[in-house]
Amino acid sequence: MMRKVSEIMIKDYITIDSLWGIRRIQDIAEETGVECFPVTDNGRIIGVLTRNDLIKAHPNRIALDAMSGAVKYIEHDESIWKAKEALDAKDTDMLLVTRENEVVGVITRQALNYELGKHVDLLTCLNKSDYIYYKAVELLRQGSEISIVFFDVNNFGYINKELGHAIGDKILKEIALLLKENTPDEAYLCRYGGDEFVLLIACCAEDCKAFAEKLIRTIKDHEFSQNTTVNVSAGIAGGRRRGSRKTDISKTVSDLINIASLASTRAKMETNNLVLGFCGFIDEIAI
Amino acid sequence: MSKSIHSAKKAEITMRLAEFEMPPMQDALIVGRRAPIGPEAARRMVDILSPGQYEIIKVDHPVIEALVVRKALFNMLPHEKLVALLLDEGEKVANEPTIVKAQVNIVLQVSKSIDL
Repeated sequence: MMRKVSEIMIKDYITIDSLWGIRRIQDIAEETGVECFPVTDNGRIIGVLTRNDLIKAHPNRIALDAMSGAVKYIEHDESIWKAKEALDAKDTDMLLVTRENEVVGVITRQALNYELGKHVDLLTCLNKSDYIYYKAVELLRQGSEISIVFFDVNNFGYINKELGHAIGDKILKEIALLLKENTPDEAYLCRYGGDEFVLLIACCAEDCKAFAEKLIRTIKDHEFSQNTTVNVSAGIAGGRRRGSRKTDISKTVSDLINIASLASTRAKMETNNLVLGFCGFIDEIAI
Repeated sequence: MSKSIHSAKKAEITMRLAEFEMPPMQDALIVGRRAPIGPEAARRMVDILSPGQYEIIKVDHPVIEALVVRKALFNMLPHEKLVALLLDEGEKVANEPTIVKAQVNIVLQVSKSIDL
């Protein structure tokens, strides 16, 4: 479900020697279109020469005196979101991808941004579900308790048919904005599918019930385009792992989202539009 | 009447011979941030010409990237004082694309009195 670093890494990367002149490297960059190079000294990677370095450095300088990027590594099976966090935190434009302590490829900021663009919903500007999977797995690994709130717009098909898809899109944008504005910093929001949104919160399902109720009410009270009445239903599922159990965390997250999704369908029948689907030790879930 | 045209090319050569300074950089180099030779290239150059005699000091300065200083000077003057002195004087003449060569003469004056 989660896109991994190994799927987008550049395997045939070009390395440059630390004693090569900048003019020579600029020629290589122009010929190949590559903007970022690992720098080697006696076959060992010692730094990274970025596009900015190539622009700023005197053409007579050697790579060793022009490179600014530090050598940063990431494991091949890490998520692309982890790679983004690593690039943002470490002030570099390239990560070296390792498998069993051996460099097997590189990942550049340019390639990563291109890939991440595919994981942002163009209509609402929210991340797509991949990001929520990543954050949920990360929180569970850290031993945190998590809850998934699955929001589903009631009768959205009817809105589309009665008012047209353009108005339907506008309403989705307004819902996304309302959710975004009312989501705390420590929670993560995504557009899961057509008229579905998922909120990931690092707290137990019981605790986030009141929060989900508030969001349902906020949307209900909002004046939407063309005075359309819009309601959403929400299903909640959450809990924590038992420390000793070895389970596939990605599958656990997937199961949790599924439970919340099914609960949101049941919630459409409830007067308060909210159903708590699961709360407990989530590595015991069996769907 | 026939005309003859004479043309000649001559080259005048002036030579100036002097002993190659060893090392060619004397006591210190002040390397600008956009100088054609960076501190690592300078270090490798001096390490080949005068192994182990110079130290590279990278500095946090808007114009100067590093100082390459003859280690023997640190026997006479504390590290931080010499660096501060070189930066203080160096920034008055150096700019980003330049490398300034500095000659530093240190004369210690000692005056002591002893009980007889």
